[in-house]
Amino acid sequence: MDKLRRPEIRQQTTQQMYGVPENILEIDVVNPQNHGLGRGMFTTYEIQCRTNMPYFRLRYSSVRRRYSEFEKFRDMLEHEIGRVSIPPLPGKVFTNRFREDVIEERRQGLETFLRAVAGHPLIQTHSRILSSFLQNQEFHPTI
Amino acid sequence: MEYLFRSPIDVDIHLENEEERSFVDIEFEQGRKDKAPVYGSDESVKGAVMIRLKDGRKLDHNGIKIEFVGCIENTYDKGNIHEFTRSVQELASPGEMRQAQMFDFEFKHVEKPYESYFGKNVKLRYFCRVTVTRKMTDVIREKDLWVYRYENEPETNSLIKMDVGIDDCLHIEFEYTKNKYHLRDVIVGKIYFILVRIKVQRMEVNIIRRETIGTPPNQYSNSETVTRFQVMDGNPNRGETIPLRMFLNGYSLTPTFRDVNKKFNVRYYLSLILVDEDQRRYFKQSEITLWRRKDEQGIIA
Repeated sequence: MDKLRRPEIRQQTTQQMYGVPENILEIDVVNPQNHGLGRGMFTTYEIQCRTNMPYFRLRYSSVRRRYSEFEKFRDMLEHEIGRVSIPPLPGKVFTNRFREDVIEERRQGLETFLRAVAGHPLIQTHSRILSSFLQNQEFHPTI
Repeated sequence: MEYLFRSPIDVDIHLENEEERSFVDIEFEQGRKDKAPVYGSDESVKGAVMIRLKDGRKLDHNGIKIEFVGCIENTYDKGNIHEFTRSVQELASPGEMRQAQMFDFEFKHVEKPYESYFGKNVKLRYFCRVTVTRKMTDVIREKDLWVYRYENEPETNSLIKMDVGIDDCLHIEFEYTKNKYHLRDVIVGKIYFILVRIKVQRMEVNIIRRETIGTPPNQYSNSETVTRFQVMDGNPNRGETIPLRMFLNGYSLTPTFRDVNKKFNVRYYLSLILVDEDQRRYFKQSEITLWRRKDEQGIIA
């Protein structure tokens, strides 16, 4: 019967039991806004990030990025992390770029993309550009 | 195993005390089902063969014999049958049969060195085969037996304890109190969470059977999940311990077969799997050894 006894269990501290888990990561892509005029017009999306994970510099951040910056970010990620397959971005749009439903579809696609990428443990620990893309006010792609 | 469409005779193999033995339900590829009586590894195989003539015709034959065969067959490669044991007994010399006859046979203390196994791609069988040799086609009838092999409590049974994880993301220490289990044993253990930075949805422990046939470089494996035990639902905190208690009785498990006759292996693994909210799976497999124990009451495990 001794063999069936439950193995020794380490006591958990109160802090461990009731403390906030270290895996909070909330990413939202919201508030699309158009900038510029005429042919130079483009749309930016706000990336809001709420987290308590140690990889991210800030607990809360809010930055604006446009689609082309997402593309460059994705290319840099693919270069940086060989082993992981990076999910695709929502497709390129050629006509009606500024129509409401097109922008909304793109916003949702970008949100899904960012959540999958930022939540991936290997990308979190091996990427230097993830936290700068998500939290730095200015994004400086090196490609 | 040939069933001639219009066989002129009925051949029946009856093993002594068949009704009093326990039996195992077996199924062959063509859907043919049978009940194989269980024999011990050095028991004699005794019985009688009954040959009945159909339509009152007489039978001319070139000899009747019975063989006791133990063989390993590849399910997908029919030509590949390896007999590792064979004994023959002559039942009748060439002649004529005008009426039904019964022939007794006995294979004294015939060696059955391995346990019977019906797997996905390989079978290890023991059977009696009666062959009535004739001018045109022989009449062949087979009767399967089943053999279990028992072992004693292993001398050493060490603990499986490991520290695994992904740097900075997930770090766990798991422990299973033994590495050798009998088929009705209980797996007792625990999982201790040292670091959790992923959003865990659930944790399960699966028992996986891996059947490997052949020797390198021509080795072929297939894995099957025998059963899943869900051991945790929801996200754990650091410092938390999840106890494990999983009962093996009732699942279709066999003992671990290592390199049987240098032809095949059947091994079992415990696979500890964590699934996060994005359905990413983190897993660690550990091999365990299963063995067959004879219960004190004589119940076969």
